[in-house]
Amino acid sequence: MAKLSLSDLHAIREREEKNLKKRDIHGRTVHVVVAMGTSGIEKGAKLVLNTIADEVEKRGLDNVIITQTGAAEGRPEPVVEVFKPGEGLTIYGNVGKDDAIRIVAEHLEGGKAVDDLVIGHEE
Amino acid sequence: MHSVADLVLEAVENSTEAGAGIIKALAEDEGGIWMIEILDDGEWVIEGDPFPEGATTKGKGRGRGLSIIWEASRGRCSLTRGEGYTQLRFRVEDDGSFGDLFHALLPVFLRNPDVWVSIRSSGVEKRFSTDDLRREDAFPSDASGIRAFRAYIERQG
Repeated sequence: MAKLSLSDLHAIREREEKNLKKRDIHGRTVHVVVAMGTSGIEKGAKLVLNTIADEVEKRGLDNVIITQTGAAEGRPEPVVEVFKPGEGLTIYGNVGKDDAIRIVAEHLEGGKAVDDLVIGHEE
Repeated sequence: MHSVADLVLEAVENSTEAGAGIIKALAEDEGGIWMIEILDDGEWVIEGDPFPEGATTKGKGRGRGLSIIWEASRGRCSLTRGEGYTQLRFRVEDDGSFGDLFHALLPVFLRNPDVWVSIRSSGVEKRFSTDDLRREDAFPSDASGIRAFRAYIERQG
């Protein structure tokens, strides 16, 4: 099969965008963001992101949307942010695999922040 | 310590931070060694030697992704600029991290740009793309999308 060039990919993207179904982030109840910059990946952020995805899938949390961003500069990585309308932004730091499971179970599903992992909060 | 899958993610992150809208990743099994090629349409902001001294595509003082790749590949890497695209190539020892494609590719496809991934191993090529995910409503950002993404990866595998 012939290799696709970047110009081929641009053309395909333009064609496909016409058929795009826009995903509605703002309609969701809970938004989780995992910082995936170099320093985060180095400290295990990929495992944290995958664990959160596994747990959200396993528990069928359809009100949760997961995204990722770049480096969480100045914060102890891996960093996970949870935004809930009415509750604001809760920031977790030094998150490991077991911590990620707790965040999903206790905060995303149970509704209560995991206080011993919280490094910041914004209304 | 970065796995091969981590290095691909680093490269994709690097391309994303350089403003790429489209990223094409090729991973080819050369018998115990993976040859990785990342092609993107991001900005070229490198000055001087791109690898050993912590050069960055993310602006001064940030980004060690290229240095990490250089170290992990023990210098078996190159970064070139073509007309409107950047090509990063490197070779690293197989560590089995592509054995779990679901977890290797989920973080790659959660990033914003359009990503095309081709994995060639034992004479078999597997292709994955953001466009496929859109068509199949398998963008892995929510529970139903993650389920659909898992099914998509398993079907390809």
